[in-house]
Amino acid sequence: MNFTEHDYDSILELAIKGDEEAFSFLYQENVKKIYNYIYYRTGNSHDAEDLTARVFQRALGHIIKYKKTNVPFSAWLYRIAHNLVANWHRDNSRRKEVPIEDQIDLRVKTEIPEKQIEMRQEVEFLLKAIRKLSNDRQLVLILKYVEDLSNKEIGDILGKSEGAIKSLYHRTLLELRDFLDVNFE
Amino acid sequence: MGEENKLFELIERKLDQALLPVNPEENYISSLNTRLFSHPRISIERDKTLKIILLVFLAFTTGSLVIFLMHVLFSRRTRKKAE
Repeated sequence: MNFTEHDYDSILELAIKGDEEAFSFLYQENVKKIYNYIYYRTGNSHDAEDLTARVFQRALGHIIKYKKTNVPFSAWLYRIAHNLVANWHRDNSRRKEVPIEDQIDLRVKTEIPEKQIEMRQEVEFLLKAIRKLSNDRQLVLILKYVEDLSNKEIGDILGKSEGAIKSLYHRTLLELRDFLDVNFE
Repeated sequence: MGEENKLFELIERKLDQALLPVNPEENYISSLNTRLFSHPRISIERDKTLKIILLVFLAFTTGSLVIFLMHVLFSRRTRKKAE
């Protein structure tokens, strides 16, 4: 069946009824978004792969109970991802966090100019600061910068108005500014 | 206010550099798609000991009952003949 001819709502209905091809279509449409969200929340690709798989396994197992609303289907997946990431953080609270930066081969690192290393350190520092924000704030930043979504689209996913997202984004920048201020001193 | 705006712009520029889309490997995407819909074929082997014990017990009880009934029947016939 060619799902590109169907509208998203009817594909979703088919998936709710247990159509595997329809769910597979929804999976293909959303897997990269969910992977990105989890990747930036966990900081490594190994856990991002593992948790992304669990998100879709759980979604497949519960899709029969999914109630269609005005909120996009991806919001439901983000909620599942959020719960799994929260559990992951709880279970691994004692484990040392491996920063994205550390995954770079040291032999390569020596060949990188100093300025680039500095830039990467700054990026890693900022990512650490982002991971300290509340879930909503992290999600706003990831959707805005990684997914390149507008405030309106982010609002649809989070079930908030465009104005509320604008204000949430502003408060997020303020928190980041305070965090970076404190840590640069 | 101007200072704050400049700082916000700086943070936004840094966010632009830090939060780039990451693509999972295509292999991973397709293998997960397959894994999601593959139904594992698992056969569960149950312990047969209980079944065997029950069967032996049932056979023993039935045998005893048959012997008892035959005994009752024959003893009645012998008594009738004696009378």
